[in-house]
Amino acid sequence: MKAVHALLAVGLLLAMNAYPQQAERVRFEAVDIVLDSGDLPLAAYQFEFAAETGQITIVGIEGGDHAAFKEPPYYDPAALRNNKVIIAAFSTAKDLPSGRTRVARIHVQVAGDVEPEYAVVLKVAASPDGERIPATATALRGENR
Amino acid sequence: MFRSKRQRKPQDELEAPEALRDQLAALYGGKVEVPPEVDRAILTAARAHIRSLRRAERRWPRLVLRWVPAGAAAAVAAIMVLLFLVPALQPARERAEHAAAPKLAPVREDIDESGEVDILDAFALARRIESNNELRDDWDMNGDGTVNGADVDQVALAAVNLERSTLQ
Repeated sequence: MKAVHALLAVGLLLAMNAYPQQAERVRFEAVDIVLDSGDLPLAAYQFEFAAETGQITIVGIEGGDHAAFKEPPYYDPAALRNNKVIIAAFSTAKDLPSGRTRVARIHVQVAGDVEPEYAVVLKVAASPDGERIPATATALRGENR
Repeated sequence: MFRSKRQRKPQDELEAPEALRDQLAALYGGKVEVPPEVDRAILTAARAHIRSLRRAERRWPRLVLRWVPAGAAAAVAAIMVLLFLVPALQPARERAEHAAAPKLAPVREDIDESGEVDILDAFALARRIESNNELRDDWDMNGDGTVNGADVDQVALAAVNLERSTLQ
């Protein structure tokens, strides 16, 4: 009987020691998506965002800096609680941004110790008349923002 | 006590006449002599038959080894022919439907008829609504009888649907 009690005690101690190692470290961060359309005014964009490494969950999406893209962009609600999203927006306003402009901010929950690396693929950027224009998209986080 | 008329006593059994019994005994009771040459001929024929059977048994594995690979090759060829023939025999209409299915799916929201649904379709529809350009009935995405901002939203949401994602 003493042996059984000893085994139970050892098992309990092992379980208590193992628990802190199993608990995942969770933190939150915001990732800014910056588009650069050069000299051309940006009227519409669509990009895909995902984490290439790390375990992330998208928890929120907000609009950009410029008044034309201040409102939250279009995205699939299923993207929340997912690790990838397609984001798009357009504006028919006269005043449009050009050059580098933050078009969206994505809030993510990061689980575990693996530092996430994000991928942004710009699908389309367009001028006010709906023509495709060359542009680049960048994901900025932390001090790079 | 009742007794069937068909029941007989042992002493009632029929017996053959004595003359017949003697004649049958003379016919089958004697010893049959087989001449030695007939005996040898039968023995020789039997040995020859057994030898031919053994030769045939020895030949079988060689025949099997010779024909099994050829048979297997023929079976594989038949399967290959079937694999190529079955799709070819599939009705042309069915194949056309399978081939065209991916392209047909997003037609409704493809406002600018570029072949894919993206934010430019929603943008094109929004610009047409704002400029009071001619609007097509089939752009009434939500079926409320008018083409307005709600239909633009529906096209935009189709563009960002996660199922269209190319990222893993």
